Amino acid sequence: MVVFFIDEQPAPARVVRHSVAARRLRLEVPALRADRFLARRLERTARTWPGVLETHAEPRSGRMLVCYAERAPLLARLSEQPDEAPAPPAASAAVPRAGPQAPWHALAVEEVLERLDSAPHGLSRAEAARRLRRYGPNALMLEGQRSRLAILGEQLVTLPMGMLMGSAAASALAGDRLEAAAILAVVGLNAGLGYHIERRNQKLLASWQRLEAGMAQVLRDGVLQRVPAAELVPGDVLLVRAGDVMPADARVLESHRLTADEAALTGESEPQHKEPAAVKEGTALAERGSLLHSGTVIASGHGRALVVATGAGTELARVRRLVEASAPPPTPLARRLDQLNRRVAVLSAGAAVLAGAAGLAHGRPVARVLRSAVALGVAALPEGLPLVATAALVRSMQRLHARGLVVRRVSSAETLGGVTVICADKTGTLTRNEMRLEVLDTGEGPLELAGLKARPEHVLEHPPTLALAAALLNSDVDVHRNGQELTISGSSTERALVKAAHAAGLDGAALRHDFPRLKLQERSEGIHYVVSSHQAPGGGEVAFIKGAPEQVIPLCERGLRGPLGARGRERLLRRNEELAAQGLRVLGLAWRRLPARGAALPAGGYTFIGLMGLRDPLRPGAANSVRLARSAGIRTILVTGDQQHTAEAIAREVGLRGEMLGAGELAPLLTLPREVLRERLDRLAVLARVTPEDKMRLVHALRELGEIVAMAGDGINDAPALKAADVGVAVGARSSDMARQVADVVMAGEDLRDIIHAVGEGRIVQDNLRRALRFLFATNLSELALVVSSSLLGLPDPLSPMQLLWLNLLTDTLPGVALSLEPGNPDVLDRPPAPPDAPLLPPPVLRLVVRDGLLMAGLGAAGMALGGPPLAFGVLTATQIGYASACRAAHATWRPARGGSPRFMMLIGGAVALQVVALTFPPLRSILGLPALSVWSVGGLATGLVLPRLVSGQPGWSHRVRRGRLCANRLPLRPSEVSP
Amino acid sequence: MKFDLPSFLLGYGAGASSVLIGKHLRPLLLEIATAAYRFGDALIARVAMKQEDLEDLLAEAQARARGRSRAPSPEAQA
Repeated sequence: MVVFFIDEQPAPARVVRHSVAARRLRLEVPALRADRFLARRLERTARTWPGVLETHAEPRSGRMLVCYAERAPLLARLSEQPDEAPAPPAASAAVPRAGPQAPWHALAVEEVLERLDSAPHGLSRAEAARRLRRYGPNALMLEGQRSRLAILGEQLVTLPMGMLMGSAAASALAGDRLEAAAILAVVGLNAGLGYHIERRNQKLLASWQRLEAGMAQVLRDGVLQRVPAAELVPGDVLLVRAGDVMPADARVLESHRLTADEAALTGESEPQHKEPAAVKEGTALAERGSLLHSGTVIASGHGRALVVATGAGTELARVRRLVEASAPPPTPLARRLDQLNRRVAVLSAGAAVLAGAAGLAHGRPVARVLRSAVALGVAALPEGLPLVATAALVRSMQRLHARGLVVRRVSSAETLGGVTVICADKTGTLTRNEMRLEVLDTGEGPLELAGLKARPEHVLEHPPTLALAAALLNSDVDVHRNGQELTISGSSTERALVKAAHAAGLDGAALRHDFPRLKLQERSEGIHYVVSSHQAPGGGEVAFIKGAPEQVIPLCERGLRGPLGARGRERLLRRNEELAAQGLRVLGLAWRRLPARGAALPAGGYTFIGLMGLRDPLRPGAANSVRLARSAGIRTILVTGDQQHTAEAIAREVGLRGEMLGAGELAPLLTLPREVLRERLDRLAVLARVTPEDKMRLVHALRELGEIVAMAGDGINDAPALKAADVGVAVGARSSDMARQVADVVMAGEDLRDIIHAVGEGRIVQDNLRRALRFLFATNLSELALVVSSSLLGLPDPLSPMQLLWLNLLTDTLPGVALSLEPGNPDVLDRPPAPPDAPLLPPPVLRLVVRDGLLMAGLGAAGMALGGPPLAFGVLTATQIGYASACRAAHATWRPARGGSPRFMMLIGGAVALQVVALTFPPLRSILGLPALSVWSVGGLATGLVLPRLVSGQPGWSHRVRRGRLCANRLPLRPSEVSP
Repeated sequence: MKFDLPSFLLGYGAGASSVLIGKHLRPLLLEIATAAYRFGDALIARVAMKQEDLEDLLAEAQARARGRSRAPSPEAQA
């Protein structure tokens, strides 16, 4: 190998060819490409080598010729190097590699330190730099973006576009340049529309793929340093404290009341205690108390932890890989439109072959046969369909946006309408992921918390005040007041207690001032309560206990009304069980005066203050949304990483009934035969203590059984299931970045009823699309039938390609758009969803399409017979515009309902106006090949507009129809009607 | 020159739409132009390489035909 040094930087050169006899070396220097100045420099440099006769560096090829003399043995010994494999993309050079692997949570601290060759005081800077080179930066790889060109290409490489481009080519061959240009303009219009929508979605995606450049506190060379989170390496010792977002996976070395909020990763609503003690190897992720995971938040306390995994090696990256590995399923709309497009293409090709054969049989010239084929291609394809479908979806997106729902994937707006199962995460989705004090029981029944007023001047005398003060003083939280706003940092349980105390009128700062803390005895192995001692305002010291009631109650000798005794304690323990059974997290509180200043904290003789029940409350409308879903024929399944009893309580609260499955019970279920699995999943209501993979597997299994699944979630652990579902809904503005990245719909608000409203919007889109499709296909069929029958009968072409484009693009598209923007039926959520496999045009509608298409073609033929091709065009156009009103929902009328939009009338009026312009405006008339306006033209227009309405039996003047009749008349949206 | 309304409308429409959508089209045009340049550069490089390969082949053939003494066989990489 030859290495040049360019500005002190090595630039390796490959020997591409060595012509030994000619003594010529051809060197490839990658930096040389397109750089003339470097070429001259390299030539000068190479000429100084011993034995070199001539050099020539060529910037076009990036190669350099070196001719050497006989006396240059060093150059003569260079050998050719084979072509290297293509270099990996530049981005992958910085791909972080996973560090050493081991069950870190199950290893003792000393062993972890030894395996990672680290020490309690951290790594040296040199070693950290070496490891950074070896393992790469602590960052997650970003998903590659499609280029603009690729997006545009995808719009063009579709069957209908191919047919249109083929038609344009055929037109150009036949010498019809204007037709060819018009068809190409249609191709451009449709491709531009698709490109615009895709590009906007991509931009949204990109805005969410931001890197968070956080900082971390680490020990390097035994000194505390702040380093960018991206520079962390396995073996670094991190210092963590409340409020920190973990930058990497780390093994706890030392902890002081350390808890981490892992809800986003595991779904666990309670902050988890973190301790250096190892746990069993097979412990579930949510219960690994010795590990801190990247992306989780330190809720309280502080500690030291050893980084064991960075970048791609973290649990967060594993979940992300799961997300990336699963491709989002094609939406039912895309699937059905694809199916429809294929059928139309086959029909169109068949018709073209038939018409071509007939044309040749009649002895027509090839150019004319070619023109007929183009006309057929144009007639068969619903060119306005992308515009109509987009209009329906965008209208729905706008209406959802007004409710605070952002639709990322446009077709999801329609998919929502077909949803049959909603899988809802619990923490943060059905519940707020924010603990709240729900019950305060001082031994005489629960107190009314809403009206509770504390008495700060009688803290030790007034039981409710004492309970709240004890909880506040015993808690380890930081409280900051910023004007009226109170910021509390600490574990969610303690935050809830402090908030409740403040809400009742206690001032935390004043109370801490009156009761300065002297000692604090924390939870430890087997001791599930915290004891704190304080100086009391009137002199002396007091101790407060807060913790697990089953441990606190046995320490109490008295209640607030007198001695407790064994029966009294039993009664309190029973009450504790009652509250726990309601899904509450229960804490017991007790206090006592201390005998002497500075005395050790006694292990008994306390006075019981009360029981506090806390709960992560339901989000507004959570229970109602489950009820609404049920009445809309949609099943809800609660899927959570949280404990079974918590999940059960929440399911009960929202009114979910059915079977509950726990950790590890899903996998064996999924191996059951299809029918048994369907039966079991039909009964499933709650899936608790599950991993992100389990959530995704459940979604896959449901989809394989033919369900249309919506997944509602907010955490990192929901992301794989959000992507795997037909519609992923990220709930709440506080949902994790990853959840928002992969979701199809992002909810800014927290009211879950919005999901059901979105389903209603989706059903309106489905109804409107079916009506618009009925209209478009019937009108296209009429054109196709007219063109084919004329060709078979050897008559002149009734419609030119230009006229067909005019019909399909303008006079058909406007009514199509009008139909796609209809307001929808009010009872849209009172019916079950359409079966997932129902075609876009079910057989009854297909029969209507054929009947109506042939009728319209008959009218066109009548026009042709009476006034030739110009009248055929006029009559057919007017008939098609008039036909739009026959395709409307049964209850719709020409007159807008009170407060309704006159949009339909305006769009139909627009189409009529365009047709009038076509008949009267000379330049346009000449392009469309129409003669001057005559009585026949006006008569044809009027007849065409009125006739379909009369034939369809829906007179424009009947604008009030009873709702009962409506439902009976409605087009094929009931499953019984559309099922195959 | 005779005023032709359709041509005027087409021209006006094209001008107005290019102003309106130019902002959105620029990145796409940039990408298309970049791809075109890359293609052009790759084509030029490929042609230049083939030219050089041909030169090398002819030079080697000429050297062999005219009996230029062979250099020591390549054994190692320098």
